[in-house]
Amino acid sequence: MDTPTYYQNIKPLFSQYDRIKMMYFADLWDYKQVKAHAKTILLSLKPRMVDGKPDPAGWSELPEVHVMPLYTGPWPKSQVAIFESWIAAGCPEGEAPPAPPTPGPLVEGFLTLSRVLTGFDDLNDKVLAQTYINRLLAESNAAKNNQLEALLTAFSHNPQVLDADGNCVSSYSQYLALIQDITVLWYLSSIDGALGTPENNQYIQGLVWPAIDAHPMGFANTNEQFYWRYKPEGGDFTGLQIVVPRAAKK
Amino acid sequence: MTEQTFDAVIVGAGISGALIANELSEAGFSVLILEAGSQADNRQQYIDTYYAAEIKTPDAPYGIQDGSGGSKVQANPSAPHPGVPIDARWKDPNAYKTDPRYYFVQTGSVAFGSNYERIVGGTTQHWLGTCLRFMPQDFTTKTSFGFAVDWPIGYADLEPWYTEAESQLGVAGNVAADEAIGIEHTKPYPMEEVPVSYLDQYMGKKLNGKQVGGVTITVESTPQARNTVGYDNRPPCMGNTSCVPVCPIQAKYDATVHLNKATKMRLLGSGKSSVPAKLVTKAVVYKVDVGASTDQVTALHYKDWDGNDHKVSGKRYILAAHAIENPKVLMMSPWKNGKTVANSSGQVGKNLMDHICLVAWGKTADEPIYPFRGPLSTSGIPQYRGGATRKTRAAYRVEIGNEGWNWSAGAPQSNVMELVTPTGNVKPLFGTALRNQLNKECTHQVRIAMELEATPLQTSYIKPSETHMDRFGLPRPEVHYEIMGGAKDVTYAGTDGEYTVKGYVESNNVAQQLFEQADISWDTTVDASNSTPGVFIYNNTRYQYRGAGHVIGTHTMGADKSSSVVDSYQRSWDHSNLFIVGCGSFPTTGTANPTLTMAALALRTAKELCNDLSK
Repeated sequence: MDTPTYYQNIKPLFSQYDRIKMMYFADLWDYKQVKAHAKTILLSLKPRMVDGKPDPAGWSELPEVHVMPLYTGPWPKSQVAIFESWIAAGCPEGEAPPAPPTPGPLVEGFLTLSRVLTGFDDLNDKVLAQTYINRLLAESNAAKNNQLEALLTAFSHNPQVLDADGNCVSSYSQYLALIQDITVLWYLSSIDGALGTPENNQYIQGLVWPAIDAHPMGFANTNEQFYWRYKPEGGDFTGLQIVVPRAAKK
Repeated sequence: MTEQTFDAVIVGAGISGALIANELSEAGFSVLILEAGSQADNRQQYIDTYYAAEIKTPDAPYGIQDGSGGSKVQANPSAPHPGVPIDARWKDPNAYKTDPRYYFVQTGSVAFGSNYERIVGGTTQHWLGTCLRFMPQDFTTKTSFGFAVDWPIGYADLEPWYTEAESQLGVAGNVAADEAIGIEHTKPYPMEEVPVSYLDQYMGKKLNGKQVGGVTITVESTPQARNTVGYDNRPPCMGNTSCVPVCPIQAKYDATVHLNKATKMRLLGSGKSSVPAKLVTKAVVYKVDVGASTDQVTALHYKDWDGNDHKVSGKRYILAAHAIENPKVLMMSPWKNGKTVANSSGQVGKNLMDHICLVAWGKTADEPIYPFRGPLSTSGIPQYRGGATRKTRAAYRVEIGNEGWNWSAGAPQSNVMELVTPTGNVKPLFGTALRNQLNKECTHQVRIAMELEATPLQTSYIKPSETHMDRFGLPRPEVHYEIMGGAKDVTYAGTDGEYTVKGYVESNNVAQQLFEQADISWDTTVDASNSTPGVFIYNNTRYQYRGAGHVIGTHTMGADKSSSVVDSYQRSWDHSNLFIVGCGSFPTTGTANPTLTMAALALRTAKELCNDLSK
């Protein structure tokens, strides 16, 4: 095969299960982190064997990085060989997904408005906000003719978009279709009411899921085994507890 | 044109084909598997396609992009598969031209609402994973209740194979719940049951011990091919809530597990090694050749996706291509005396069945029960599966969903749209009020499904279309589906054979009583249009069913060659080196999701094949 690259050959080797189980160490779906820890990960892929079986106490000689997740078993030699040749080639990145947009001048105002419209006070992802601004400009009829800019300007003068019942106040009624589009986009990552996105990182960031104490269907980002047995409380047992990788904390 | 020969040629890389290939490979026989579909490079491709799909149908990860921005998924025209019909197009044979998921040419008076995949791994790629055994009485409905036909084998014949299938697939379950309804096990399940959801616990609290519909009911965990510990080098379930259409981590069994085993050289005990099976994808089998004097199958023909013809031979042939494609291929293959291959009984393609589903939905009155978490279903109510009422009407199984109104009404996105972009005079909702209202609406949603025993009917059939072809000029399946015999339209009152529909009506009553007992509102609706798939009228009342994906009965097994297509080993009565396997072999649907029974039958057939090839 050609020289393996991260996005084409290495990332698909790490399942969502591997990723979550190893998140305490590094995010296996993050190119930079895998590159930085490549040699350590390789050691953990070649487990220490006891009586012909991986040592259940820890596959690796390294005290900190015990194993790749035990249940999926040691990797086949062919997979380990791909990982080794990737390191030998200098850990090439390969064809990365399209670069996210750089936050532009509208982002701050858009985020402030979006917090009001969605009811999520903690919206703060500027890259996602810019992605949505770009989508609105491209996909929303209501955003055409500089209506988005006009709405944000109006909002900067008068932040009272909603009344106490959560309805649009009359002074903003001319922008109603646009604020509907903005709200639906944050909740569903779509404008027309479908539950789909051009890119998967948008689907799984839809606000509808935390709003209903659940996780995106197809993406339970949790290390809490059998979490569905329990009543979600205070954000626990929703399937959405994000585990922050240690490597990212540094 | 190329020709090769093998001990066994298997058509279809789904669960039956994979299990049989694995057994033959371990026993040292050379195996060729021909799969009409293709295979993604890795699981993540399926997941990414699913995330990007606008409508997250069961086939969303497995089709091809239609080019309109990459988010609409369509069936592959080289190996087309049906989608679940959603509107009046189910009756239009030309809808296929703009959406290949309308693959079926439907000519029956009611819609066939189920689909399947044509990819490596088959429909187990999108199955739920439910692994119920049949009840002993499911095999003897004629003797026990005077309904339909008995199977040529009984529960005792199949029990060891159920045990083997549970071990091979990796089933998590609770034996006590089975034994309470008369399903005895010689061995426990290989894994402890999947913990039931918070929602199930609510249902149990409200319903356990209650008398509803004449029986005392309990909510029981469902046996399922879903890991609760590491099993067979696959991880335990982490509750992604997307079993249908794709388990992102393969905690749910799918047939690629056994395909991967079968196609690898493995060291077995006593110094022997397996013979790796050869898997050829994009191989669309379209004809079975039978020798003029011997009545033995001599070759199979297939087209690759470039349209080139190929011919392969083997000592034994196994059609494992699904209950629609198996009879289609047979009926495209001329034999003698004007008959097609394996069809001296005239029963090939007949008795097309599915468990029609009554989907019921409502909301808990006070307590939120937090759906959209965990496997899509973890519990059911088993007590309606058996009993003397089967003398007069169909029995059924009750499944409790964990996905709110997702299947029934497109929640939660439909709830977002209703609140943010309401119709009429309702004011759109935003902000904290929106978030709170959405939480209130979605965290109370309950969905159950009543899965009805079907009636085998000569009037319900599949055959190759004479007029509508796919891109290779191969016939599309003409599906003439009926729920009741002799029906001319969707008004059934007064016709005979009302067994299934009577059961349906009863299950509708029971569903309403269950909701009432559990303090759940009845929000179930029936579509207003008669052209909506699944709408029918009975005694002047409109009902609506959905397909269960359990396609059954098109090459039924029996004890008598004049009225069945295969024997209990799924061997063709007409051609002793041809086996026709899968749910199509079931004479009746029973009251359980069929996959475990299909797997048990496949393993039993594999043993017969090994004995046969060793002679």
